Amino acid sequence: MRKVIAVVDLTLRNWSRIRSAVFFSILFPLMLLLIFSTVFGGDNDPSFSLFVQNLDIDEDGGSSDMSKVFLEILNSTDAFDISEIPAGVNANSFAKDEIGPLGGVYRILIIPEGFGSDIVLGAVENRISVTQNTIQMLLQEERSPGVPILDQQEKEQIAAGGAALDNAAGEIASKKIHLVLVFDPSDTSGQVVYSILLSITDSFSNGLIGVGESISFDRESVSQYTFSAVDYYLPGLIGAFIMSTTVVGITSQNTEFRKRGIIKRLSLTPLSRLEWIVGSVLAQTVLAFILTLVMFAVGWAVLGVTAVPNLLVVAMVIAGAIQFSGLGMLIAGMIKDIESANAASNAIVLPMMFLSGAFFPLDAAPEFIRIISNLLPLKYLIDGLRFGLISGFPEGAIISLAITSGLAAVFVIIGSITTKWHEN
Amino acid sequence: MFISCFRRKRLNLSTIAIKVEGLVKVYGTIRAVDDVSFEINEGEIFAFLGPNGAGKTTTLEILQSLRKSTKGSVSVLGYDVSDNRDAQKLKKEIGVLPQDFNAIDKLTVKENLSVIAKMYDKHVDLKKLILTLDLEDKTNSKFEDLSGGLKQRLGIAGALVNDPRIVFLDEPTTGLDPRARRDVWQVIESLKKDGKTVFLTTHYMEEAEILADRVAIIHKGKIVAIGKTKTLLEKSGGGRTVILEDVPESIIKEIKNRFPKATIVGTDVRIQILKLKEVNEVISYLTKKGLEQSLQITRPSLENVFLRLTGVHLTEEGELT
Repeated sequence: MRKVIAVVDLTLRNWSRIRSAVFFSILFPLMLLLIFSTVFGGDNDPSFSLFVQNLDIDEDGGSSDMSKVFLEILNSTDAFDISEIPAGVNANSFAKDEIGPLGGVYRILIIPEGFGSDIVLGAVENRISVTQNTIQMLLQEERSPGVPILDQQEKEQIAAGGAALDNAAGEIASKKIHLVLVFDPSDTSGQVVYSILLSITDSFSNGLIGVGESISFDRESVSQYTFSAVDYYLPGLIGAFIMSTTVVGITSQNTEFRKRGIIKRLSLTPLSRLEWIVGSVLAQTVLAFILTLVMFAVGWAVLGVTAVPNLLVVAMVIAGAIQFSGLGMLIAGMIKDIESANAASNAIVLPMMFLSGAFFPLDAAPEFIRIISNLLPLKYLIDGLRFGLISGFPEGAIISLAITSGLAAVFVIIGSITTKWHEN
Repeated sequence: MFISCFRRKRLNLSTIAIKVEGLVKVYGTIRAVDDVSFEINEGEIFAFLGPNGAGKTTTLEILQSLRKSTKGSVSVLGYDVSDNRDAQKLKKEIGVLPQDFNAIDKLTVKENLSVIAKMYDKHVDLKKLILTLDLEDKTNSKFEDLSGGLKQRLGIAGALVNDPRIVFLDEPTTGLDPRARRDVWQVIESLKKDGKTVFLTTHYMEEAEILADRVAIIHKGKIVAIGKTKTLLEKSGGGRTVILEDVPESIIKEIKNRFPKATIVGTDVRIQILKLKEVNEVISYLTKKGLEQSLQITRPSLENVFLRLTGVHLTEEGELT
């Protein structure tokens, strides 16, 4: 054990004095964490700026009741940062002036004149149509085959009522409501804004025209937990950089120490190959914990991270560090040249980072990417960390932990076989 | 001074520290070590002298149980180096300065020594060891900042950290400037005083001549000569050579008659004297001729021994010409 600790000690000291190693193991992941959490939102979901011009006003210049309700619903979603444009002005030039000389992107939603009355009429028309359908069904209904429910007289009376309804419906002649959304084609969020508006108006009109349920957009019902964007990125970044730190760390240390005769020198002491391997893996595990702790410390202190690591997360960090140490040993064992081994470790690490959903979810990726992703060991480390940290269902990490531990055993065994201690 | 930090051991030349019999190491079709046999007594400095690629390091690494032999038996301090358990025990009792020694660049002298020391159950006092090797000013310097000579001194310190019975030094002064080389020689000489057995390899004739009690000359994987350094010099060292420069032509003729085997190039004359008792006779003759001012005399050398035994010159770089 004394010898194993000596190996851990020498590895950590050596690591702490190589600036690039410290940068890529700790500072770089921290930088990414800060950038990601800033760019992709802090505590709240993104809120899109939106100008609204309401043309549905009465003679006194006040908004119609229906348009007021619609605007309140838009506001209540928190999806938009709404500025109103007065009815009597040119919406485009008003928005431009509002944004100011520096320009920028603006989106304008125009609520047309008659929005409220058209909705009411639409609702009436809809109900007439429902009543008509009911009448038709009633007329055709039979008590038993060949025996109708209604007698002939009753049927005639009802048909007369139906004709009166048809007349009323024809007079209503409701119009289709046209909301207008103006946005610049170069506005990359334009489509997103359009989709949100579409779903809000659908719910709004269904709510009105349907069975009269109250309309509400409860944001809580969309979000299952109260974590922020940074809570999502944190496990991904920790997983990705546990991988890169350990793979690159072991590969470069083993190839450099072998080339410079340091492994030979150590093999001339009573230190055994097993002790060297255990010490190297242990050192990388310690580094993985340092990385995890620093990321969490900054996350808690600066970024408002709320996730707290549990034992499963600790186990995932250990299994992940062992797994990727094994992979590093394997690379260093197969490729003796320092430069080539480092190139190989980067060639394995970088694509794996992007294909394992470390930086962005792969739900929208093509199927073959998702299949590849399922074959990558990093995927399970990150899945395990996410399950353990933010799912509200930490037991979900157990499968990932089992897969990662299994792969760790395989990689360490193969890595150990390729790590030579004595010469031939 | 040097002795102080090590256990004193009684010098007993009759104990055999290393015994090698019929050692062969084959790589593919190359016989790197070809039927080598020798013994080293405890407490002596033994040198393997030969050019690069002669099989010096391969033999040494087999003795350290770092490589497996193809054939032959090797016993070091009574341990069979081909047996893994013996090898593990042996490692506790030997110290090694490998060829092209390097320590961890970013670690200091003290830290590097401490790394090696922690691998042993017992080790000598590191402060004393640092003092002994005159490294105290550099204790906190990183290995990468040391000069070549200091790096080698740290390497030797590392080889002594466990107070070993045998110290293997593989080309301890290669690449060092003359001054640094002499510093290292001093350290090696002091090891002998402490009763340690030293096995060193070198391609520097002077190094073997100055340091070694016994020398084995190795060439193409075979030992071509082995024995006490003095005996080898007397036997195959080419005797002494009298060198004369700017000799007048009249005297050159006389010298030609008197010493028919003398080598004469222009006005320069070289007379080889194989027997020690003839030296006085030659010198008194040359003094009578008034040549004592330009007279120089060289000693027998391992260079000559090497040349006579192998037919080739060994350069300072360890190459053959």
